[in-house]
Amino acid sequence: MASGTSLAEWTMNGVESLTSGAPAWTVVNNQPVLEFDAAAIETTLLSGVLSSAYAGGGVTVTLIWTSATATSGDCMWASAIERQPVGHPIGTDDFAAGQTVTATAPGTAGTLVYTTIAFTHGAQMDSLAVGERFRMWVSRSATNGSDTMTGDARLVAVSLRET
Amino acid sequence: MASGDLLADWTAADGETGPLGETAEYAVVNGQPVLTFNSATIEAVYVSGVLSSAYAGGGLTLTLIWTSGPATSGDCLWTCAIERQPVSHPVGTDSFATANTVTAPWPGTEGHLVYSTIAFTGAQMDALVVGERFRLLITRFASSVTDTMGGDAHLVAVRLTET
Repeated sequence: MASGTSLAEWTMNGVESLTSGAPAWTVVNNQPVLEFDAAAIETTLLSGVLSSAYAGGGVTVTLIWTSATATSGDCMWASAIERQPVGHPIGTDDFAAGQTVTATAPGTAGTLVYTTIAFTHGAQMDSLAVGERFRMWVSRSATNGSDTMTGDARLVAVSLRET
Repeated sequence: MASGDLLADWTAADGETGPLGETAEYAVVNGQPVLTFNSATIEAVYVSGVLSSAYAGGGLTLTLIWTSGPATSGDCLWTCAIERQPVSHPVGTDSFATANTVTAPWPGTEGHLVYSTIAFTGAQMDALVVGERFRLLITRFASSVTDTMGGDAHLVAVRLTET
């Protein structure tokens, strides 16, 4: 197995809090979502242990999201991976460089968009290996000039697959 | 891979708010989170996920791992429906396929586990495919005359496998 293999998934009940700059948690039609502001950078953290289904390639994160009100413009998402092997100091961040995608707003507010960010094997994945704990942050780069979408972006779910 | 493959599993702590006024109550039994479903009124919970790449195109089987509160006899009527959430799905609107049901006898001894299965085929799966987000709506149909079990039903975990 390799390409396309599911490695992990998260709903917005499974996120971890930052002390500041965290998106607001809310519920839309009984579904937990995170609301990422249009004016300030907000970030959430997810974590897991890399599945034995991983076969050594790159990984692709899929962000399943929608807009609160917008029907045009672009939303700029960023994500980075932090490997936590034996000896990793949990009080210190050690993320690899963030990767980004600029995604077009849905044509109808509230309808789902599936947006992917690919991480190549090696440095972009922070050399993460099977059985190791990892964290992943997901941000909306709202202050970037490429983010032109008004209103909140609502993150509904995240999946991780082998590229 | 196909028949019997594990595609997802949830504990009661993963449950998402049920329909308005019908949410099963969260409780803890011997350190284990459970959702308690009333014997007099319909109560429900949602769980959600992204369909695993381990899915090979067959039917799906949901296993409800549950037990009774103070019941001493009778049957518990469980129902479950699947909602696919592809690109452009409106998160504010429900679009569940028709629910399937199982009538399960009480466990024989209060607090002992029962594994009850509900199978889904074709349209019953709402045409869900690998990589798509989905929700399950799990309900105890307590107001049905078929549900004759007194006291709460305690849902402990839920498992989704390929049939």
